[in-house]
Amino acid sequence: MSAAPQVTLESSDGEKFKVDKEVAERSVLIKNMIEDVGESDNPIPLPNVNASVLKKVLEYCEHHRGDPLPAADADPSNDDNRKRATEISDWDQKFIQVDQEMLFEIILAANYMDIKPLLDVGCKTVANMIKGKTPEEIRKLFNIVNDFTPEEEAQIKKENEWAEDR
Amino acid sequence: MHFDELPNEILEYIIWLTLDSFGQTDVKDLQTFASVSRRWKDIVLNCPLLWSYISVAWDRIHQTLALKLRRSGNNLLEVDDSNTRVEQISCHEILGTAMHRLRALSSAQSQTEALPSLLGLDLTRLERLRLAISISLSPVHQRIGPTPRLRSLTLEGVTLTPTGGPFGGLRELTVARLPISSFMIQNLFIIIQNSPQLQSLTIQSILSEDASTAAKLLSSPGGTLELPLLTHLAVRRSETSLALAILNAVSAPRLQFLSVEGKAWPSSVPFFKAVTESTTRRPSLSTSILKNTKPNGAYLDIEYGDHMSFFLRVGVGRERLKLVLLDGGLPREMDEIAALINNVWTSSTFSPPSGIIVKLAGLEDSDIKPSQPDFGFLLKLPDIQIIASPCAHPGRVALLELLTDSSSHPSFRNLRRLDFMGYTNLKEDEELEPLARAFADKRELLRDVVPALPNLTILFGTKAIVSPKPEPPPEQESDDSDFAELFS
Repeated sequence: MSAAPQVTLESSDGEKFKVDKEVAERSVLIKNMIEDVGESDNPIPLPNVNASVLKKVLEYCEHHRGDPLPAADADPSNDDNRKRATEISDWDQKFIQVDQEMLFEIILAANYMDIKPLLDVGCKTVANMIKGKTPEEIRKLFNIVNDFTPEEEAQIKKENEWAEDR
Repeated sequence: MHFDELPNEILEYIIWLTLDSFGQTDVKDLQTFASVSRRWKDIVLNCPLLWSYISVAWDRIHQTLALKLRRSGNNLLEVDDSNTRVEQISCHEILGTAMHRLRALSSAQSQTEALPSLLGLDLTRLERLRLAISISLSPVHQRIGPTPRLRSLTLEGVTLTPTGGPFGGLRELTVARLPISSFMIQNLFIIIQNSPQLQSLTIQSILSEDASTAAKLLSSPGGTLELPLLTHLAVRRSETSLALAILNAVSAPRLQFLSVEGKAWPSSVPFFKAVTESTTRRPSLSTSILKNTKPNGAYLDIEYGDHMSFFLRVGVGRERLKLVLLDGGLPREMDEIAALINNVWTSSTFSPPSGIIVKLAGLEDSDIKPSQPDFGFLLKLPDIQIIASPCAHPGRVALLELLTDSSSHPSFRNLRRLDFMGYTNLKEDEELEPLARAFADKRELLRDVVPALPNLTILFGTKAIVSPKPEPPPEQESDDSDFAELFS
């Protein structure tokens, strides 16, 4: 039995990861790169992803290898697709239990590497964190500065008016 | 890394994900997010997508409706127009100005007059439409103009005639709660026949004394439904004659999932019998299911009754094909059901692949003493595992009989695992005791059979009493002395 074809990925900090092509190709970015340049022994550079994040991303890709890929024409605003996205599987939930910084890094990496299901898991996790919270709670959660003037803050509390101004 | 480093489009997406599906977008939620910081406010106000979900019940204040229509820019709209009160019907006028932007419309009403009139509206961008009226109301007929982009249509208690050409691009059709009449069947027929792209068809809760009329219509010459792309077909809680007529009329070479569910009847067997006979007679249905196996699995699902009192599922999952046989309440019919499955399984077109798990479950009513079912069909299955749990005692004994029958045991050569307890948490003593006696009765036969079954493991739950590599029998508790004795 011949070994599965492999590719090497290189993180922004120069670490190399040798993975099955099938695993790496969960990333549409990498899939397209391989298609464009053909099979090669040269490492594929990922200048926007550091080693610790890439390791985590590859863990996700490894677990989900063989999953059906989302349809190319899937429209994220399609209601059916959204309903599907509201649930996070048990494994994914455990996987995404990381500190805030890593969570945001994973979201950015998934966005850059074009791994839609991982992007969904990350964004959905953040969405669940902010759902039902007050503005003050959201600020506190993510350490966001309230930069409204008192006048602006008063205006924004008025029903509908806040959305009428521009 | 700080939250503020996430790009705007990701924050937009996160906020969009917080909005509950279809119609629950409350402007107040958007207001909350807009109150976090200037950046959040800019994003909320300038992302049309966030304003594109409209619920007439939630956004009943005209001002809010108008605000959403304005803020959503030219974005396509999804509108939930459910449970509209009569005093809100005027909202339809405001919505009327934006109909050309409608991508999805769901209108489920408890009053007939609250259902919007669709004829004459520009619905050329509409992709999904659901029209439903309450179960207590008489069915309503509607007409609709051209809908060239319509992909998903759900009709509950409503019939719909397209006046601007057929729904040529329809992928999903669900029809529920309609009385069977020639008009309704013809309407349904016309929609289906003109939807060559149809991938999913669900027909449910179609009940009437007049079911035979519909069946006659469907079985008349020309009553064939050619659905080349259909992968999912479900007929649920409908008259059996209609279900059978549909099964007989549909030609679906790509079918992956067939689900037939009976309505509550005093007896499951006639329904099951009729459906299995029908699917066996129409091998194209059953074979196409097995042929079209996909990673997500293909299923033939035959279900009866409200409480799953009978349920046959044949699924080709990612790893193996499973046959699950459950019987929750009608043990006296188990033998009849087993006989029916024998028929299905022995039909030449429905030969199962290897790697099968058979679960025999249910049959727990100890007051009824059923005859021992004939599980002969199991012999047709190569490479199987049988989990006889929580199958009642007669079922297990029948299995044991089969296993020790010298004429049949060569057929079990590939049986890899026979688990008499499975995952159950039944009262073990009550279950084990009669089984232990049955084993004791068969010990001589088992002694002959087991060497002929090199791959077999016999389990009581986690306890192996026969395993492929003959090892010294595990330490047995005193209650299990019969088994220990067997293989000592």
